[in-house]
Amino acid sequence: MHFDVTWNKKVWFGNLAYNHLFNIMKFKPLSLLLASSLLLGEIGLSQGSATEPIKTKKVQPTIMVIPFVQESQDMRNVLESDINLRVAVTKVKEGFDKRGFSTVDFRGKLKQLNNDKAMELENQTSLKQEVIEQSGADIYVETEAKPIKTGSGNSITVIVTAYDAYSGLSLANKVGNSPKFYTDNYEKLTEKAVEGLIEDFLNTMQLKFDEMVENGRIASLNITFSEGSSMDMDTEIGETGKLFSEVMEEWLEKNTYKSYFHLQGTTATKLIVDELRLPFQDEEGKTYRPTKFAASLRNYLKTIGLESERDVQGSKIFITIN
Amino acid sequence: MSKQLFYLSFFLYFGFLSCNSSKVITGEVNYLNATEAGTLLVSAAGYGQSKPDAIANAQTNAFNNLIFRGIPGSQYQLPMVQDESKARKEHGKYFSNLLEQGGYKPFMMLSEEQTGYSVSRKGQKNITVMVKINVDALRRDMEQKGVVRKFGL
Repeated sequence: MHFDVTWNKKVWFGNLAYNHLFNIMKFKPLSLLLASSLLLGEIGLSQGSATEPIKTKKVQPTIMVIPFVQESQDMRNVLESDINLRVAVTKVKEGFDKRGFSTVDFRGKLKQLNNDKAMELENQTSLKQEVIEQSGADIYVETEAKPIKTGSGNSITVIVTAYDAYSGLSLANKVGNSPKFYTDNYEKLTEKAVEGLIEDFLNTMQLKFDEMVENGRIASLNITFSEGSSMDMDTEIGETGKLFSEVMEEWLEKNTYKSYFHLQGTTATKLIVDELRLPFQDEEGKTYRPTKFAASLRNYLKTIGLESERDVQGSKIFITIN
Repeated sequence: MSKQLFYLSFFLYFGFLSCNSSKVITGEVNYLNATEAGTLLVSAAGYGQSKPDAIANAQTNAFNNLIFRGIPGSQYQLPMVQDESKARKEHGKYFSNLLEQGGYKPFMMLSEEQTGYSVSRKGQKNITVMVKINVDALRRDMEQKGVVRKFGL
């Protein structure tokens, strides 16, 4: 006859503990109190080590740190001639990298652009826009570093501002000052100034991100009609007898994030939604861009027999119905 | 014999309960400096029936305030966890281990007594301790365990 001699330690110790506890319960009520409190303490200790990592799906935005320039200034010249600004930009980038972020290299992107364009003064404003657009960055961070020389020592003031590339909304701003030293080593002062603000700056940005995830990204929508169109907002659609503007409102209710949209006004020829909210991610966790929203609206219009054209500029969506 | 056992059990039981006396959470945590990036030096007051208890309470207070309140005047003005009650509900085990069972110790770079262990104005025995925290490592740990979101959306 063969006996299986393997045994489960957990079960064995469990039974032993149970029997022991039973004996205590039977004869020693106070000891039971002591035993139970010790047992609870043990449970508490074991819970502490049982925390498992939680895996969450996340799409990180791309961020580009750019130098602040005045309208008449050439971005490349400013960056190449100002070592403090370069240090500030690099330190801000470092701050993002430390939080597990890949930032788009501004200088690399700048080099990709046509050299001639970069040197033409009249194109500077559009150059900045072009760099931002070409980089595919979701957020850009403008960085400024200004040396301050005084009799009681020198310091650097650094200003950083983060913008949502699609809507132009400001996400976070911080001003940081380095301590005053009798030194001309402004690079070191710049490092100190950035180190003193970057955590607070990133935490403020994170708060905005959380708010955006909660409430969606802001966009706007304009629906108009082409000159030859036989339609207007008061045209009845299908057999329901609903006006086109009413159909659009219903569609927006279903397709905006948490049904949030603000209708600025409707006339016979125009429907303006000055603020609507879009989710940051689609069902697959991919970034939901305003272009996707425009495409989905166009597809819907097709289903009700309307041809349209769309134009998306940042977070502004324009739909023209033919 | 049974009387001796009774006293022994009584003593052990209340002795065990007194181990939890370092649960007084106060806001007496003040920013000192942050000489190295990613670190934070604060002074924290702690209360307890014994000096080690009071020191442990001061250290817990330092971490508790950094995580749930923020430290004014420092780079960490905003709390690392925005909604304390929600976080404690969802990650109770993590915070129990971190704050009540000494799980914060790997993130503590320095703990130095600033004052003696004496009776304070509040009539309780307390001590002030200087605590240096490796905030970057603490944040990474919280991110890895899913307690706080990683930077981003």
